[in-house]
Order: sequence, then C-alpha cells, then structure tokens
Amino acid sequence: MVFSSMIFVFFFLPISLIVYFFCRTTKQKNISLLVSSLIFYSWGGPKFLLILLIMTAICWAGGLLIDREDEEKVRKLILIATIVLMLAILGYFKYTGFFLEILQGITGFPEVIPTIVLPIGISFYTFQLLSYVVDVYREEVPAQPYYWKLLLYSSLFHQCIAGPIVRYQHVAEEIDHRRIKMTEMAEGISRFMVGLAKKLILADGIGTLADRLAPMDLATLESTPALGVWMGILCYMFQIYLDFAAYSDMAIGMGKMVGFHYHENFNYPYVANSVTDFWRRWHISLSTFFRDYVYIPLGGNRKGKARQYLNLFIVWFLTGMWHGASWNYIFWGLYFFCFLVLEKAFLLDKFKHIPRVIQHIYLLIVVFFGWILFRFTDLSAVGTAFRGLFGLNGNGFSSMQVMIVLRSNIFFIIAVILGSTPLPKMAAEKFALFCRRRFAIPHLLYIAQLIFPIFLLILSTMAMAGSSYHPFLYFQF
Amino acid sequence: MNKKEFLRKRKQVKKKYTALRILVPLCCLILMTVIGLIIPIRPTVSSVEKRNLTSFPEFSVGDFLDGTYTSNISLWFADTFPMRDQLIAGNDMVTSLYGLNEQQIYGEMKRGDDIPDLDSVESVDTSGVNQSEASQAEPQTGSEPETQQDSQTEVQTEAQTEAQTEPETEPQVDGTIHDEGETFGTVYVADNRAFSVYYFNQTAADTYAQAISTCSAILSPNGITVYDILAPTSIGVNLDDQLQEELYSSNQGDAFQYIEKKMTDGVQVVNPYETLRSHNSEYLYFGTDHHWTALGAYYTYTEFAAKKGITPHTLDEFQTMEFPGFLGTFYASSNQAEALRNNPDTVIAYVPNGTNDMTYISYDGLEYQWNIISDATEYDENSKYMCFIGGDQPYEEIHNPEITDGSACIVVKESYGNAFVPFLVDHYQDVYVVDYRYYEGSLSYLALSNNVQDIIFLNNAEALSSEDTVNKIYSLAVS
Repeated sequence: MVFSSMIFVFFFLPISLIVYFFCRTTKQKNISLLVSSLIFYSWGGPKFLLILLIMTAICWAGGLLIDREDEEKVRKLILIATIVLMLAILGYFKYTGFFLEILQGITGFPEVIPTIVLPIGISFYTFQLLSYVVDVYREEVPAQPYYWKLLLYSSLFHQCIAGPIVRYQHVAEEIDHRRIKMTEMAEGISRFMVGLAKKLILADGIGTLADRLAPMDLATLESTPALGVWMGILCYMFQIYLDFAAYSDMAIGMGKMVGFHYHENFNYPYVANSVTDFWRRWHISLSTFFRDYVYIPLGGNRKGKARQYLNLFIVWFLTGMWHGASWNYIFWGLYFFCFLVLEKAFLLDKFKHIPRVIQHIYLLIVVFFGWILFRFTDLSAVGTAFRGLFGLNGNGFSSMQVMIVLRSNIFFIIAVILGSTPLPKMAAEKFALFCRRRFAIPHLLYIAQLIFPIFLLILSTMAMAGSSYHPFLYFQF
Repeated sequence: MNKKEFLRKRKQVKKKYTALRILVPLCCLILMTVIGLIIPIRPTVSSVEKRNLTSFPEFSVGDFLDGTYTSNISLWFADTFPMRDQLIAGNDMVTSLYGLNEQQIYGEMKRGDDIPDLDSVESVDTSGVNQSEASQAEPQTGSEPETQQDSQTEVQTEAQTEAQTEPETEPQVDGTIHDEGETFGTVYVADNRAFSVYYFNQTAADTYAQAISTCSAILSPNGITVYDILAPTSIGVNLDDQLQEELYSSNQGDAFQYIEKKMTDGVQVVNPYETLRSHNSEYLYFGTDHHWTALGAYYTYTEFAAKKGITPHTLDEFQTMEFPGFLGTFYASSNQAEALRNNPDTVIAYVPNGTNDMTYISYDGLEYQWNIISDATEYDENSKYMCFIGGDQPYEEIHNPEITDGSACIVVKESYGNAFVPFLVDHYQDVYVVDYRYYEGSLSYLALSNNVQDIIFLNNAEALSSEDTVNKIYSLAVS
C-alpha cells in the first residue's frame, strides 16, 4: 500500500485513526498502531512480514544481550554478530543478484541468476534496527525489554517502507509516554495533506513530463532532441525530490497526528550552495546515519587527511549501494564523493570569494548531472542521455513535439520549481504575520488554515482518480 | 472589554478553529471512506475509456501470500471509486490550466522508421507457397512475424472451423484478446480537432505485404482476387506535409507506395491517398475520433469500384442517417480536452439500397440479427461509430436479396472497414466480414466454402504500423 493510493487515504488511514482515537490508554493505542502497521506491511505480501518479524527479533535479542552483559569484549562481539546477521539478510535479498551477475561476468558461473524479490522497505527498517542496536551498545538508550514495542518501532507504517530512517532513541520515550496536543494534531493533518498533494500533483505530474521528454526507453531516448533531454532530466530532478520529500511530509504528518515527532528529512536541498551543503539538506536521516554509524566510527577526520578521504570513499560507496543494487547507483555515490573531496580540499575556501549565485549554479549543475546517473540503471542509456544533452544523437536542438509539451505545461513547470524552494513557506509566514498584525483576532488566517488542507485533499483525490484513466481505441470488454 | 478578557476570547476562538482543523479533514476522510464502501454505486464500465473497470479479485492462497491479491484489491478500489467520472473530469480541468493549450500533444513522443527509397524496393517472395495444400501453406522469406506461437491459428482443424459457422452449438469463449487493448501513441490537438501521429514501422509493413501476397498466392488458383485497401488516417490527409514532418509523423503517401511496391502483382492494391487528399476540405475524418467518416470511406469505395471495374453509386442514391454529438477516441485520449468537447462530431451514415439486415457473431459466440446501419441516437456519446455493421464483431454476414448472381466477397478489416462495408452491399449477393483481431476461423476455408470471388483487406495506416496487429493479419491471411 502506498500513501498516495485511494485505498490508503480513503480506507486504511481513516479507519486506523478512528480505532486509535477510541483507544484510551497508551498501551491500547500502541497495540492498535502495531496491528495497523502489521496489516499495512502485509498488504505488500504477507510472506515478507516474516522477514520483518525475524529481523526485529534478532535486534531485540541482540539489544537485550548487550544490555545485560558487562564485559566490553563480549558486548562488542554480540554487536558485531547482530550487525553481520542483519547485513547478511539485507545483502541476501538486495545484492545477491548483483554480485552473482558480477561473478558471472568474470567466471561465467553461475549460468542462471536467481531472481530474489526484495521485501518492501527492507533497506529502511534494517537501518532503523541497526541504529537501535548500536545505540544500545553505546549506552545512548536502554534496551527495549518488550519485543512488540520494538516491532512497533520497526514496523510503524508511517516510516517503515519509505523512510525517513527514524532513530530509536528519538522515539523511545514517545513509545511509552506521549501526549497529543490539539494544535500538533491539526498541524499533522495539514502536513499530511501537503505531502499528499506534493506527491500526487507535483511529483507525479512532473514525473509524467520527465518520462515523456527524457524517456527511459533507450530507442525513444535516442531520438529525443537536446532540449527534450535537458528539460526531461530537469523534470526528473524535481520529481525525485518532490516524491521523496512528499513521503517524508506524510510520515512526519501522520506521526504528529498520534504524538510522534520525527526529525525533518529534507531542507530545500536545491537551494544549497555546495555539494557539502546539499547533503546536509537531502535525505538527512540517511546521511546522518552514515555519518554516525560509519564515518565517525571509522575515525572520521581525526586520523589524518588520507584516512579521512578513505572514510569518505567508503561512506559514499555505501550510500550509492544503499540506493540500489546496480553500478549506476555506486557511480552516483562516488560522483558525489569526488565533489565532496574537491570541496574539502580547496573549493569551499575558494567559494568564500565568489558570489553565492555562482556557487548555487555550480551545485545545481553537479546535482543535475548526478541525476542522469541515478535515472538510468543501464549505463549505456546514461551515455545516450549525455550525448543527447549536447545534440550528439543527431536530433537537433528542439522539435515541435517538445515545444508543444513545454508550452502546454509551462505554468505547471514554473509552479513546481517555485514549490521546491522555501518561497511557499515564506509566503505563508508573511501571510500569517500580516493577518496577526492587521486583525485582533485573525479569522482570515484561521479560515485559510482550515480550508487549505481540504482544498489540497480535493485536488489530490481528483489526481488519484485521474491516474486510473486508461482509454483504449476499441472496446475492451 | 479589558485586555484579559480579550486574550481569553482570542484563545477560545483559536481553540475552536484548531478543533475544526482536525474535525473537518477527518470528517472528509471518513465520509469518503463511507462512500467508498457503498459497493452498488461503484461504476463497472467506462464508456469513454472503452473498457471494463477492474473487478474485485478472486482469492487464492498463492496470490494472497505474495501480495498479488491485496494489490489487486487496491487496484479495484481505486479503479471503480464512486464518482470516478466526475473526479476525472475535475482533474482534467485542473491539468488544462498547466499551460498554453492552443496546441497539445498527448502520449509518447517517438519517431517512425525511415521509409526506404522506392527504387530499391522489390516485391516479397511467395514462391514457397505450395498451392495444392492451400490452407496449410507458410511463406518462406525472412519477413515472417516473430511470434510463431500464433501458429495454432494458422492451421485450423475442420472441427474448429465448423464451430465458427455454427456458434449456437459450440460457443467460442474468448477471454484473452480483449485484455491487451490498443492505445494511441501520440495524439496531436490543434484547431479544435485531434490527429494521431503516424509512425512508419518497416517490419510491420514488410510482414503485411508478405501476408497479403501469400494469401493471394494461395487463393488465386481458386479464382479468387485479393484486394488490398490502404486507408490513410486523418493526419496524412488533413495536415500539410511540412507540419506532418515537424510532428515526426511519417508520410503516409510514401508508406503506401512502399507497401504497394512490396506486394506481388497478383494483389489488387487500392490506394485512395491522393483522392482523399484532393477532397480534404470535406468531412472525411472525425475531429474527436480516429476513424474516417462514411464520406471518407465512400471516396475509397469509388477507387475500389474503379479497380474492380464496377460503377459506384452516387451519394444521393442512398438514404442517410445522422447522429450528432459524437465524442470519440481522441476525446478520451486527449484527457477529454475541452477544445474537442466543444466541437463534437456528427456521424453520417448511408443505408444500402438492397438491405439493411445483417447477422453477426459476437465474442461470446452468439448470433445476433442486426442492422447494417443502426440507429445510434440513443448510443452514448462515445459510441456513435458503432452504428456501422454492429461495431467490431469477429464475424458478420450480409445477404442482399436483390442480387442473385452468386457474387460473394470477404472483407478482412479492422474498424475502418465498418464504415466501408455498407457500400459493398449493393454489389454482392453475399458479403462476409471478419475482424482479424478477433476472428478465429480459417480464411481460406471461409472463402472456399462460400465460393467467394473477392477477398478485400482493408486497413488504416496505423494498423499497418503495429507489429501486433500485422501478425494477426498474417495468421489469418495464411489460414
């Protein structure tokens, strides 16, 4: 089940909320959340639930054992065993095919590569559970004695399948003690609606344009004129941000509705002015995960320049690999590694003397080309797209088709670009300030706050219905 | 009011609004949930999309365990949501605000194959056809369709063929063909009407020429003449060459010449391209639908008559019927564009003089008595083209009581043939019509058992660019 589907918005979510609000004690509320989450997870295939249950059990047992043990060596041993086991399971499901393919390329063996279905959300909940065990080992948080409460954390439908990667220590307290404030609940609902509209209207709309202008299909991509490829990748750049940020919005919103406070996952990444800055704003829960659980334990920047670069290399290799079992993602990670090293070595110093706008353009160009690597898992398609950008596929600069598509979506594209900046938020704040200053009781502001989420819900509902529209040429009965 | 009291009041107002900010959205969600659970008001068919909406899945343990069952429930839930049509219309209204819409493009944007230079083109080779075993012949050259799994339809057993002609006793159940529907590649909207961009496909064109030529080689020893009518689509007839080129639409005149040259001499090719171009100020094509009008079909019929050496009727010899308010497939494929909605088409039909009666056999194998031109006044706005010969049925039969010379023909067609067939009725005692996409019998058996003299293939340019449809023509043509 995805958040942006009819069945989630108009069936699962309302019913789970009603049940939740009829529960009186926190324990009852937690049980209702757990049951909802298990049903939500099972929707994508009940057999995968078993893996989630087992992986949670491993970390639960690991956490308890570490907590009870005083001997540092044994504690470390249990931690390592738990981590190895978890990564082995993740590796088996996510990377077996990839490694066998490499092996096949080198040795010709095995002849047939088995297809292993990736359990939904495994990349996210594995990392969540790992953060839990490590934090217990570091004594930053006590071990969770109850299996079902740890399962509630790992399976919670808000973030289980698409992030953000919530740290156990951030919500440990709230699992047992949380108070729902009315204002926060209202904010949570608004935040969810904003996320829903961001996904269904902005991300999906711009995604359709990306697929039409810079299609995934290699033959069609080869015949696309340069402007089409440029605009297509640009659309993709916004699609991927809006899509992901929308999921985080919805997760944070749903958390707020029931009293959980998740950290922000995006902070307007495209207004960054360096790659370093970009990664502080993009998928924050992932980059801080790698920082806290890989980079710093490896020694970070405390063991000399050479070691620091090695550590960065490892982190960005893993970051790339986490995004998918394919070379293009690894190259994508290492691509950013290169720029981060350059920035650390001298670029950031140089930037102090040049205008911000140029820094910003530099960042956008770097990120833009990065998304080409990210979009096409097939490396020859990456090459085709690059050639296409510079008109080397022999299709000229533009075409009537591309121009018509751009013209008939021009306002939408502008809205999407503006929507990816802090401008809407600033405008909302200005409006609120204006109302508060102008009126003793700012009814206008309150009414806007009341109507806006409903308006977004209506737009989103229409977009959901619109996405089921598939006309045929002949009667298909 | 003192300050303290005012502050208290302000706090109260804010609190009330906060409660509303929670209650109103939640009530909306709950209301929609309740509406979603009223199963009887869920739609099951979409006439504008021309498809059945997703039905509730059947339970199986395997499907349940791997998530197929639940994901099908999600699909059903969304696809048949109450008020779906209104919601979609609302969405179309929103998306129409996305930009400047004097011209629009819907669907993928690709390019067709280059049309080979005519000088280097040679006709296909049918020398491998074993004429004594007509119905089992297979062509020899390399341009066979890739999907040879259709081969079971190539060699039909007698029993199967019998079943086709006597459907009441053994109805044919067809559950597969209609699942994979055809959709448009690219739809171009300008000046309140739409066009489908034509992409030439050489593999499909070659297979097509091979299919028709082979059919001719198989059946000409039995005195049967094979005609091949190439119907251009509106983009080729109505738009000037330069605009077509800018849209990457392949030139249909060139494409038809290529196909004509690829055919062996035995095939009588009817190419109405130039004739239709010269009449293109007339109402030859619908603006909201991908079909031609009966007038477009009429000019093609005059070309056919010239080729066959018969005198065509003039239009005023027919009684006409008119069905206004038609919004066809382009309207659906352009996300119900306003420009098209405001300019609906009128379907004009010409009733044959000899008879207006016909019989057809539907997908489920049942036989129906029908009219050649049906009154489409009550048909919904998306289905007016269905007035011609009962729409796309696998098999139709028309017998003209005013002709007794034993003349008979078979028309092998897709939906462009529907508007064309009525004009043939006054020239043959028996007209048999098969839609190659759905018909499962043997063509040579049908031809020989009914003593037909002419087999007329009729296809529009786009049908000839789809390897899928061309493979179906091939399977039928050599069967």
